[in-house]
Amino acid sequence: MNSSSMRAIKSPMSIRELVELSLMGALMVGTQVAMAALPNINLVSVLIILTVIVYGIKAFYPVAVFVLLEGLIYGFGLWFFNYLYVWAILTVIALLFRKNESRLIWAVIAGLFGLSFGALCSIPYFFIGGPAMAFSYWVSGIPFDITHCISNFILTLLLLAPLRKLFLKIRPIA
Amino acid sequence: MSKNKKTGILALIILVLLVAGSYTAYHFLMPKAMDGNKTITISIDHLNGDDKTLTVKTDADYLRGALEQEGLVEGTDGDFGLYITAIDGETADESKQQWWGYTKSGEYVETGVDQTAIEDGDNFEFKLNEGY
Repeated sequence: MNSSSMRAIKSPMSIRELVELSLMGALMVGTQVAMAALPNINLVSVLIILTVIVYGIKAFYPVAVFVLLEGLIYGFGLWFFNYLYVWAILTVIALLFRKNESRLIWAVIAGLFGLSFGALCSIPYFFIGGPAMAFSYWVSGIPFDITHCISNFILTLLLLAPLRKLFLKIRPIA
Repeated sequence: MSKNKKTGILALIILVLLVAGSYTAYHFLMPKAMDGNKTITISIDHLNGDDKTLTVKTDADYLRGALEQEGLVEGTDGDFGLYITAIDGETADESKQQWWGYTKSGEYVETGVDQTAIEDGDNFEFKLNEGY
């Protein structure tokens, strides 16, 4: 985390930022719901990385909006515990790599996140049913993790650079 | 080649290896069910003493399929699969802390009936237990 992003969270949010960040959250939810028919293929990771690049640590706001709205749309099931931390983990990782300019490295980060999604989501099951349950949850989800990995990699590789260019044109980094 | 590009390609290679590793893990670790005709035995230990052992021929991949084929099970679907409420017509009385449990050849089974794969020659024992 650099000093400018630390400053950013202390500074009051402008109305413009408030609106833009809300729209980012809405985009995450909207694209997720629109692509829900495709298992684990979505733009959420790309949008989170994009938000971190453009808005820094303030990206946590749209991520929180996304998580809460997903809960309201799909119902607060066991999966909601996963959502409380998995997307925050991606946001933290993206913040650590914020200076990275290589779209290939971003695509690999998104791919790795997709691949480890099932393992990250198995954590609550470790506490509910012990290691055996967490392990079988992870193993049975591996095909979905691989889909998630490949789609995240391709979508990030193709979309992050043009979206970043577009956003930085509209709005220079704070 | 720039340093960034080298790091990117190296990271990509690691990612591909991890995907291959996960796929291999899935291939070897996922419980497999044999195809075709299987013969298993299902023993039922009722509280009323009406015990029985059934020999069941089935093509089901998982225990639930075999139980449903014989009309032996009633239950409710929950987050962890079927929660058994009755076996062979005897309903577990929750007010008396009764519950249906099962073993495979006397060994404790970690999975529910939805995830327990069956193979030819398996023996399952169902028992109505009292007390948690």
